[in-house]
Parts: sequence; structure tokens; C-alpha cells
Amino acid sequence: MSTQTSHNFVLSAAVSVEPTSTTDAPSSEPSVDMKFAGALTFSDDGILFVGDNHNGAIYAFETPGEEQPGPTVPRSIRNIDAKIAELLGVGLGAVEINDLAVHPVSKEIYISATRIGSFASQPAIVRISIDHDISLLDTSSLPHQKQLLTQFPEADTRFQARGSGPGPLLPRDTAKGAISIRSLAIMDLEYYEGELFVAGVAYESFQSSLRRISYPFDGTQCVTAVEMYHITHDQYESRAPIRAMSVQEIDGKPQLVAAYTCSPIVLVPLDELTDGAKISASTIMDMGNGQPLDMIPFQMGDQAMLFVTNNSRSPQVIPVDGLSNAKPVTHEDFERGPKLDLHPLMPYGPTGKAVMFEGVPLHMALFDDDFFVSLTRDAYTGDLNLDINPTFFPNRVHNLVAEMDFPRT
Amino acid sequence: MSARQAQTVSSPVPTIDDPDLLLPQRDGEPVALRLANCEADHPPIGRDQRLAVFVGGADSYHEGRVPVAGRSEHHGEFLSFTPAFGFVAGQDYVVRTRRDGEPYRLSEFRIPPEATAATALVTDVYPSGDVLPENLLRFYVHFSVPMTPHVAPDFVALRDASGVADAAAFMRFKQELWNADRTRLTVLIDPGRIKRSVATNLDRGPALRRGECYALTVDEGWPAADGSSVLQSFSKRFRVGAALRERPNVGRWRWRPPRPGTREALRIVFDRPFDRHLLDDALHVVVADGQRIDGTSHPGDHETSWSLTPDAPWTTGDMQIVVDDALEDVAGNNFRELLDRDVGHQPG
Repeated sequence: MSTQTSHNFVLSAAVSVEPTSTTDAPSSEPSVDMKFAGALTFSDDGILFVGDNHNGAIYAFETPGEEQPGPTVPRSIRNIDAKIAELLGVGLGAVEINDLAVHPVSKEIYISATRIGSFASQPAIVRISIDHDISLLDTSSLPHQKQLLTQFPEADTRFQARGSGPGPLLPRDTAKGAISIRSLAIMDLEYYEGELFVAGVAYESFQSSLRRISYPFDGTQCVTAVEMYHITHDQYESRAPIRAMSVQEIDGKPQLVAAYTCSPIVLVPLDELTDGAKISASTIMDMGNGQPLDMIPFQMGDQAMLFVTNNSRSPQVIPVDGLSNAKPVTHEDFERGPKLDLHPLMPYGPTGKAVMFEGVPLHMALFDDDFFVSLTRDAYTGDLNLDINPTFFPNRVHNLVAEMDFPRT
Repeated sequence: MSARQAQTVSSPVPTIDDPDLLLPQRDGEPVALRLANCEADHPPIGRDQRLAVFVGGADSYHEGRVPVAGRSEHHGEFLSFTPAFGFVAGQDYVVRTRRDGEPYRLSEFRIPPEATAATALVTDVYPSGDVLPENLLRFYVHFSVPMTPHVAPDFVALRDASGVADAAAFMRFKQELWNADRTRLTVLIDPGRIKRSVATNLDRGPALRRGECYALTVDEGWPAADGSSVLQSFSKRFRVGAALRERPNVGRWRWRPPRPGTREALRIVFDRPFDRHLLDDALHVVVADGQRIDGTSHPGDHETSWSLTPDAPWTTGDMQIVVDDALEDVAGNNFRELLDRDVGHQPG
């Protein structure tokens, strides 16, 4: 149609590509290669630490947060797992919730989850605003640092299938044998005065370990192997990891209070955590059996307390005062032999009191000075609910009907 | 208008067919909504309000549901939504669209399970030609799904016309040469077999001899990375032609200027086949001020040509075809140097 054909193409071979070429573009901030979002904790100023048991790494994200005006109002979000599944675009059965933490400034609640797709699982961190808005944290938009774990266990080291009594192994027993030890590499994170403490397993024969990593990450870490005397089992154990821990000032120095499965609680002075050391923690109490979930420091009046939740027994409130001058025990302190739940010695030590907490508190954190936030499995409906409840016991009384619920006549 | 909107929003009208809504057929695809001109930059309704996706069918939708997390973007006349994690095959989803002054509409979709359960196949091998030069440097093997690494030498072979594999044809690296999602493997012919007069070449002779027929074979049984399928066997037969011993010569490239006012493709015919993946980013057309012509480009004719279809019609004026001088032909020669120069003196 047009008669204009004045295109003058000049072919030039030795001209370099333009700077917009993708191959020459300057590399931007390295992308977040997180494979699993597990244990969470915050620093006091809002650095979110995330344990990745798949990559064997800790990620630190600078998460912004503004202080919220006004008092905290107790609230709840029913079926939080279903809402997270909706957000992640999958059915309810395709979401696993791994941990929960509260932003120290904004009081937004962060939940780490696994989205189980058709062929691969992906990590997700979900943020719940003060107004109950649920959103996906865009980790790629946040400044971050990554610290690889040294002595990260091999992927093909797995549990042994132990069974639970006489008779052949059931599928549930053999399923445990398919789980990689690596999944326990990071069990709990605790930030204390510029350092991150990491409980979990390392690949050495002495597997239970505490890692100590200064933040900002500088690529170094110290790994300490931890052994402890287990009263219930009457043996020294060095493989099963610490499940939950908290740093407290005890006997004039900062010490980790650490809870193990079945369920001793030990003290570890921070100054013993040096690289390559193999230390014996001081066993000071034992609940009996059960698996600890969280250890949350809080104040009741002027008394510092530890709230220790468990997947199979009532939570325990332990006064921190009671840990001072607590007597460390060894096998020489008791008659030999296992001491199970019904043994007269159990629970042993300054274990505080078992308290009422209706439902199973799968993950908990301190929301602020007056409230806990918990992800609780309702005992009747099976719903997983997010609740904010006062730091007061008895707690979660709403599913009980007692004298006070009757109308006064 | 706002009163009418408020009224209609509270009375949902689920509809199945919305001709302006494009639904994904595969898990990685976005949902896209064609906007009327006046809607594209209409501020009162936010992107998330115009287009949102929810888990479940239309009958499970209600106010207050949490929408699927993802990214909304304008592309021309389309507003697209890309989920943060892709859609899951077999899961029902419902798209809520909202137009100015209309009630919202609900449209359901489901990614068919077979869309993700792709079996492992070799989809392409490059160079794709039937006649390859004697000094060919590399093959690219493309797979339909990510593959298990570290086992490539067990499955990939260069075989002669009688089917005998040449165990020393390819370079063995500690690390195999995969792209990021492990769907493309680069297989290098041992340069020692290509470069004339080096020891391997003298001992074993070249891997490819002019005039002979060979096959690049991939044996069946190679597991996909997710373990869901194993590869079916694949074979690419080719004949060996003359070696490429000269640097590429743009003076021998041919093209015809496209007509101004049209979007017809500019097609450049090369003097030889070039490396398939370097071609992706090696050629551009720029106007006098250096501005690049945007468009869709792709190699053709077994990597011996390249076409650019511009996004906007061609305009009159001088243009320049710019070639990255690092572009290599299939023998690894670029515009600056040859992979294997003739040293002029053959020992012995």
C-alpha cells in the first residue's frame, strides 16, 4: 500500500549488546531460595528469623512494623488453617502449620506454613494484621540475610522404625522410619542480645546441638554438642534435640532453660556454648512423658514465669525463681531404672504447676504483656483456631460449663 | 453509581460464561480479564476488587472469603492475576470479576490433572538440523519435566550408524550442565575430539566424521525429578557435513526490509546454524536513536534464520540489526574467534 521503502538496514556484527540485555543486567538482591518455613522468632526490633530444615539455613528478614495505638482486645479467628489454605490456593488438607511468632512492634502475627502442591511443597509465611486481614508475606521484597548451618545432617539419615510394643510394626511405625533426621535440624530459635540460639540436630554422632550465631550474620557460627541426663529414661542422651527453650537470668548469669521430649528440663549457661565443645547440661526437673511444644516467658504480677506447652499433657507454669539453686541431678541421685509417669518420683524438681488450658495449644507465643496468642485445636470440633487469651489461669474457659455460667436467680 | 454498585454487590449473579475472562489451562498460567477502555485506569475499583480468585466452586463462595494470594497486573487491555504458588491441578477455583456498574460474576475453573502429570519426554534437541557440521560443539536436550540429575551419562549417548555408542564422545563434568529447573541439559562433545592435532583427537579420532550418520540417543528409564514418571526413549538421527572453519560472516546474511505500516516479520537468513540458546538474546533491531524495536522473535529453519515480529507497525527510517559478537555458531565459533584455529603446521 505504501510506496515508502526507505528502510536502511545496517548490519553490524561487532557491536556489543545494549545494557538492557538480560544477560548483562547487574544482579539484583539475591532471591530468597527458602524451601521450608519452620521455626520462627523475632528480634526485639522486628528481624524475623525463619528456620529452613530443608536447606539447612536460617533466614533473617527485616520486617517493617508500626506500633498500634490502643489496648489489645481479645479476639479469635476460627478455622485459621482453612483461611490460610484459601490464601495459598489449596484445600485444607494441603496446608501444614509450622510455627507462630508475634512482631514485637506491630503485634502482627506471623505464621509459617507449608503448602503441599501436587508434586512439591512450598514454604509460606502468613501475616495476620491487627484487623484480622490475612496476607502472604512477600519475602522477596524484604531485605534479608541467609546463614547456612554447618554440620547439617545428610538427607538420607532417617529415624529407625521402633514400634510401640510387642507385635509387628504397623504402618504408623514404619512411617517414622521414612522421616529424615534433617527435619529436626532446627527445632527452636531464641534471639538474645544480638545472638541467635538454635536448637536441633547436627550430623556428628553427638547429634543434639545448640548453635550460636551472631546477628547480623557474618558467616560464622558455633556448634556445641549437648548431652543430658534423662531421669525418666535413666540414661544419658545426646541425640534427641531440645524442643523448646528460653534464655533466663538464673544464678546470676544468662542460661538457656531447655525442654526435651519425655520431658526433662535442663539448664545450659550461655558461656558454655563454645564452638566444638561437648557439654553436659544440668538436668533439674522432669515432667514425666510427653513432647514439649513451646516455652514462653511471661510475667504474672511481679513474678517471672515460663509457660511450657506439651502435645500430650497439660501445660505447666514454672516460676523462674524456682530454677535458682535448683539441684542438677545425675544417675547417682536415684535408684536405677526407668521412672515412668506413675513413678512416685514424677514429676521431679521445681516443675511449677500444671494449669488448665482447654484444647491442644499447637503453637503459642506471647502477644504482649497481658495476652498469649495460640493456635489451638478445639477438643470437640477439631477446628484449629487462633485465639488471643489473657496470661491468666485457668485459661480458655469458654468450652466449659461451670457453676458461674448459670443464671443468677 | 456508587449506590447502584453497593446494591448489586450484595446480590451475586454467578455466571459461567464470561467472554472477557481467560481461564488458565495449566497450573502456571494466570487468570486474565479483558477490560473495557474506560475501566483500565479507573481508580474507584481496585485491581483486587476487579479480579479475585477463591478456592472452591461458585456455590462455596461468600463474602469474607480469603482470596488466593497473588499478583495483579495490567497488560495492555488485560488485567491478569498470577497466583503466588500457581494453581493446583484437580482443585476447584472460582473467579470473581467485577465491572463498573455491574453485579459481580463468578466463573469456575479447574486445572485438569493431566496438565501437571506430564510424563517425561525429550521435547527438543538442538541443533535441530538433519545435517550437522563435523566440528559440532554441543547439543541441548530439552525435557517436558524436570529430570533427576547426576545420571545423564547413563542415558545419553552418541551412536554411530550401527548403533554402537561412543563412550568418550561427551565431556564428563563433575557437575552436569542443567538450566535452573532442570528441563534442559547441555551436552558438550569433548573438545579434545574436535580440535585437530590434540592428543584425544589423534588417539581416538573425531567423534563425528563427515559423510557418516549418527544418532543422539536418550535411553528410556531416566526418572523425572519428582519420580512420577520415567523417560521414554528418544533418538535424533543426523548426517555429518563439512566443518565450520570460518568465522560467521554477516556479509552473507540475507533479509528483506519489511514494509512500513505493517507488522510483518523481519526475517534474517544466516550463513550457518547458530547456537539455539545464544540466539534468544543475541539479535536486536534498533532505530537511529538506539531505541530497541520491541516484538516477538524466534529462530527458524533449524537455527539458520531469525524472525522479529514487531509489537507496533514498522515506521520509516534507518534501522540497525545489532548482533552480539559473542553469538556462537553450532561449532562454538563466534565473530571474534574460531574455537579451533588452523595452526598451519601439522605435527608428524
